[in-house]
Amino acid sequence: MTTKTPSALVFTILSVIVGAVIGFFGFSYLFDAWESGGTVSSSDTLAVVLAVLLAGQGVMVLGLSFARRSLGAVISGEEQRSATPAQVARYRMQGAVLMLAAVLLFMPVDPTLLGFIPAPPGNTVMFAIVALLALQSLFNLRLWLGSDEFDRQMIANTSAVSFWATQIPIFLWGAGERIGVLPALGTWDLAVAIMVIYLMASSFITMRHGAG
Amino acid sequence: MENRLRVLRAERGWSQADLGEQIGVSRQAVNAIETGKHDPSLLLAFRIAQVFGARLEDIFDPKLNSSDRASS
Repeated sequence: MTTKTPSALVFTILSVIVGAVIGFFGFSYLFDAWESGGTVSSSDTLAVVLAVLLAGQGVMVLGLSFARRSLGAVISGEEQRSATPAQVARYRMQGAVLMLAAVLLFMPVDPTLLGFIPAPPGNTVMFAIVALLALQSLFNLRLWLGSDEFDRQMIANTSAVSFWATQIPIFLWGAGERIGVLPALGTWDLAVAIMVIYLMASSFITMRHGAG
Repeated sequence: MENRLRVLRAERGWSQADLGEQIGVSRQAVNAIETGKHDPSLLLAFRIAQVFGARLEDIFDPKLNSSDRASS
């Protein structure tokens, strides 16, 4: 018995459509906010852009996990090798981690999630963020436990690079702020900046090691 | 660290994914080892040697310089 999976073309088309929808909603939110008086800060803008990129990537990964043959080709580099159930499960978890990261970045900016839910009280939003973060951490832990030494080495390298790339600018900014030549940053500003630096470090390390 | 992984694998007609399955790592990991972008752990190096039925030094060459050799 053969298992039918969507072709790479169908997967690509679906991913492009869903990615375009996510991008449309994300950037519409920013344009609407700017037009209505420019109430979106630089950190919020960056958070929304990151959320859109992460959601798009999440859709790609999740979509690919439903096309076993295409996923197998991506993983093994061989067209005829379908992905194993374990590989499918791993990609679905990676997709979920990316989608959760997108929601976690977007939720503090717009807790109504583009108006799809009524504006909840702050405590409810915070509870939801803690719950989603706990779920994402659990998925990340399971991904780590299922990683081989090469993946773990890349994660360790990413952590080292992002530590240095984060520590230096934050120290300099803090010094400038203390001296009074730079404006004060909030924790949200720093959280978004650290996320940007981490993702850039991750992309750099992945490209350098020839993985991905 | 240089190695003969690609040659040994080709001699057996194995793909990177085939070798990866046997030693418990991804195809990307095998590729990174072959291209010298990742030095395998001692445990993985022994596993690789076992799969090929060879000694570590027959597969991996750390390219020690003369002073390293003298001190070892």
